[in-house]
Amino acid sequence: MRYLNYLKKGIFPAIFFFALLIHPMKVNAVEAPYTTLTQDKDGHYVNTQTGYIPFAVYDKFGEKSLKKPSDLFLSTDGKMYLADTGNHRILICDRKGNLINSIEEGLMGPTGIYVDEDGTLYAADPKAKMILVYSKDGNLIRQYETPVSPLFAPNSRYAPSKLVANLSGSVYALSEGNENGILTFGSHGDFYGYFGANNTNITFKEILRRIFFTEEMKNAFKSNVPSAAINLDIDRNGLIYTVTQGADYGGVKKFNMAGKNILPEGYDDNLVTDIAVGDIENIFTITNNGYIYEYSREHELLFLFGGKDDGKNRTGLFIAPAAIDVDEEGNLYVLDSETGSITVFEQTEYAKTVHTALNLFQEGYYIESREPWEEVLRRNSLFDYANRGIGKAYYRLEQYADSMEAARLGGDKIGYSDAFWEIRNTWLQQNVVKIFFVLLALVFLKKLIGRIKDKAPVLRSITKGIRYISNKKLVKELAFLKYMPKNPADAYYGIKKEGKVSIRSSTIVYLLYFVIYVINKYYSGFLFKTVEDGYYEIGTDMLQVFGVFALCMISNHLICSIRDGEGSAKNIYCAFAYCLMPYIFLKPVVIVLSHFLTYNESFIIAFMNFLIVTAIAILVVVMIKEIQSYTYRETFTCIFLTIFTMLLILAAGFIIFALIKQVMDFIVSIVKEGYYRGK
Amino acid sequence: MKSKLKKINVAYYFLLPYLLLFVTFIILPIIAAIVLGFTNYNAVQKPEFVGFSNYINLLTQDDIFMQKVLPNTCIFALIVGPVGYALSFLLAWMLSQISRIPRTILALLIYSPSLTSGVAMAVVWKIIFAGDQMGYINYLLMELGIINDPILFLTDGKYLLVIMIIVSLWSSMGVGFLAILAGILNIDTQIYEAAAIDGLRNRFQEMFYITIPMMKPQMLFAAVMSVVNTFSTGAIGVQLSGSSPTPNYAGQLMVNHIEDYGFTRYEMGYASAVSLVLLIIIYSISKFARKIFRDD
Repeated sequence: MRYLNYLKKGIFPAIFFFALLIHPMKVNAVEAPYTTLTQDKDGHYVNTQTGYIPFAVYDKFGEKSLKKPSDLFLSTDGKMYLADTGNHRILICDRKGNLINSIEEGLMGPTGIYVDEDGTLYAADPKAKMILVYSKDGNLIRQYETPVSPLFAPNSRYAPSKLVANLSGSVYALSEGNENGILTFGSHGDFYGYFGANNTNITFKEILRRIFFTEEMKNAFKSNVPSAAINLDIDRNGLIYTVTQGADYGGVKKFNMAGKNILPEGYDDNLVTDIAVGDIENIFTITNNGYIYEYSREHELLFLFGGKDDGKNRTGLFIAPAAIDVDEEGNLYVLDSETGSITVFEQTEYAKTVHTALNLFQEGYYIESREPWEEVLRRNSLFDYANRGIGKAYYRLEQYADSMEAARLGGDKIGYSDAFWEIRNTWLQQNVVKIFFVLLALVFLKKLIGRIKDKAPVLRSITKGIRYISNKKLVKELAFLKYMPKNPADAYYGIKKEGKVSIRSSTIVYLLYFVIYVINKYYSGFLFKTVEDGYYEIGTDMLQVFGVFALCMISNHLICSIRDGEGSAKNIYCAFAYCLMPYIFLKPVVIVLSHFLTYNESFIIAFMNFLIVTAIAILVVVMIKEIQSYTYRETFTCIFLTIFTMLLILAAGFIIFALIKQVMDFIVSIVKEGYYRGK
Repeated sequence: MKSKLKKINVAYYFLLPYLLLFVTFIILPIIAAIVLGFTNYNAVQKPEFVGFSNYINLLTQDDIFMQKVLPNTCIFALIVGPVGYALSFLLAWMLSQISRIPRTILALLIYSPSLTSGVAMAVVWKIIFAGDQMGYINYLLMELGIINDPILFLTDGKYLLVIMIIVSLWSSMGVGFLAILAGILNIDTQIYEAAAIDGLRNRFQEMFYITIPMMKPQMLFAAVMSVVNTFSTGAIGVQLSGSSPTPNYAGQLMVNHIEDYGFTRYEMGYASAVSLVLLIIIYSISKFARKIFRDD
């Protein structure tokens, strides 16, 4: 299937190219100089169709050009506002870059602008340490100077750099170097306080330090201050978004009215410089090195494109992008402060379909959203997000089987679990009475067989056959596994002194373990599987399983033989195999259950796995103690030494491996040298 | 022959007071529950016979039971049962090693939470886990800078079950604990001496080879008590969170579910069916416990 998809991907551009040859159109769109990526279900970046292509670049506005511009704003009345920081002014143009007006009054270096529905312009000027408000025709109405309020500490910095305003005229501003959060002002400029501050990340080391250090020692350390947000935006619902540089997780935040982040804290590029929110609440961010990310409302990556311009001035790449905004049609406007130019990107058909589907889905039109999702999949069947969307759509439509299939393709395990629960529930509803009667019949049958076992000749011969088989030596040795939980100490005595098991049976136990291990790894239920579908590496597994076993046994034997242990190598080999008893008996149950359980009942599997691990650990301890006739103290010393030896052997192995590789390289280069010289 | 029968009958008269009470307060209610489990009964109108449909509904229609109540009860019982049992054995064994007066005082101290649970819970645990910064745990965590805002421990579904488990473990040293303590103290010290002469080396060996085998009846009693207790606790989640049903059904156990249907919705028939299922679960697990501790 994957190969087919790759093939398809190759065919689409080819057809497109052909179409170009046949119909030479006037294309003013520039070919995209970058590849577009998206994230698949496992979080890997994969190629996808181009979502946005650059189609225009503006660098002259009337007669004026920009010097170190730092912000761009698209107002609802079709205008474009530019903060021309280096020339201390704000330019107002239309969307085609034709100059309409320019404002210079009171400005020393504006870096943030916002225009509300009425056309009132708000500008943040960190040089003038002021927020300036202009009327629609460009007259200065108000200025917000350093707040005088008990909420504003006298020594905090006030240098407003970015700002937004909401419908009621409240202003939310970021101040350079002020990590207390977003400053909020009422519509008349009175300071209301801070909002949505970033948190410090606290490390384990820091916690220990706080517990154990004295006041003096704590003061000697630099105080742990969160990094301040670098930019912000507001959506049509009045919710504020911020971006923070240098934060691997939670670099993009969306605040509710209470100042709590409501986005999941996914990975974010830590060079992010600006954020814009589109009409369907999709989030665009741009980074210092020119990458543009588009996320859905739930912070799932849709497109990633762009890149750093290496001096060749290619349209669509940037040197120092400063601001991004999005207009009503979904076109992206990106401002580059180094070149003083604006690049406009437009959506491709593909991106438009994705957005249509997303919008319908988010608004609750699940039936309607299915068709655009399928259209998206037709163009790019590797777009897992679409499968997840379809899965959720089917779930809402109560078509659970389809939902399950789509969720599996999209890697949405929670969606799969929910749909599976519904299917299983329906099945149970239909069959519960039957199941009850089957169980009843089985119990009755068992009683009946027990009653007439010695009378019916057929049953008697079966019993005889079973007895004959269970008297075979190998079967008896294997059946000794059952004796392990009853009295482990006694069982190990039997292994060591009474020859209850043989090397042959132990080897079979090891092989059994490996078979169960492989089945568990690749054929567990989808929800409890740790590897991707269609992914196999049996060779590595074999090396891992048997390698670890061999390493354990060899190290243990080495340690025990110098610490007065009684066990022989054969004893250790056999006893170690029989330690795996819990795994061999319980893991198959877990595997079978994993096909029938959903996340709702996952605690059963977690509990059984816990049981397996603890039981094996206890058996290993008892095994070493009994086989080597140690006391508990000696046993634990022996275990720690064994682990230490294992690490040593591994380290030595790596060194030898590296040395051999060196020698090989050396020989190869000598041969090459000789070969070339000889020629 | 006749006189023998008469003698037995006379013996029964002595049993009568107890038998009478037992039948009225235990046997009759159980029979009533079994019968009501097959009916629709709202405590006002006449019960209406519906066959197995209550049980079928419980397994197939009752999402809350299958998605919340059953998993909660299983997790709760799987942890509180065995861990509480192990804890009471360990504590009893440790107590048996010290001299008489401190042992009595400590035993009383350890036993008291299971007596006073209702009051103590409100006083102690609600303050410890309070959801504002005055709660001890929230205060500690905030002081250390691990969290910035207080966590609503008792009303947040994520934490409620864990807290219920902690509190139940704390109050799980009940009658079972006393029985084990009595059992350990009852063992003849001569056996230990004899074993020491035979080559027993340490206290752990004493515990495994003498203490546990010698007190199987008490162990069985304690196990059955702990099974019955863990499955029939229900009030704890409601008391801690202060709401019934518990927030998001996070701390809803089977007993709560029965109360919900029986005394909030007045669906007595359905509640009886659920309580019968609970009875079967408790009975079969007790039977399993008996199998483990059976004298072989």
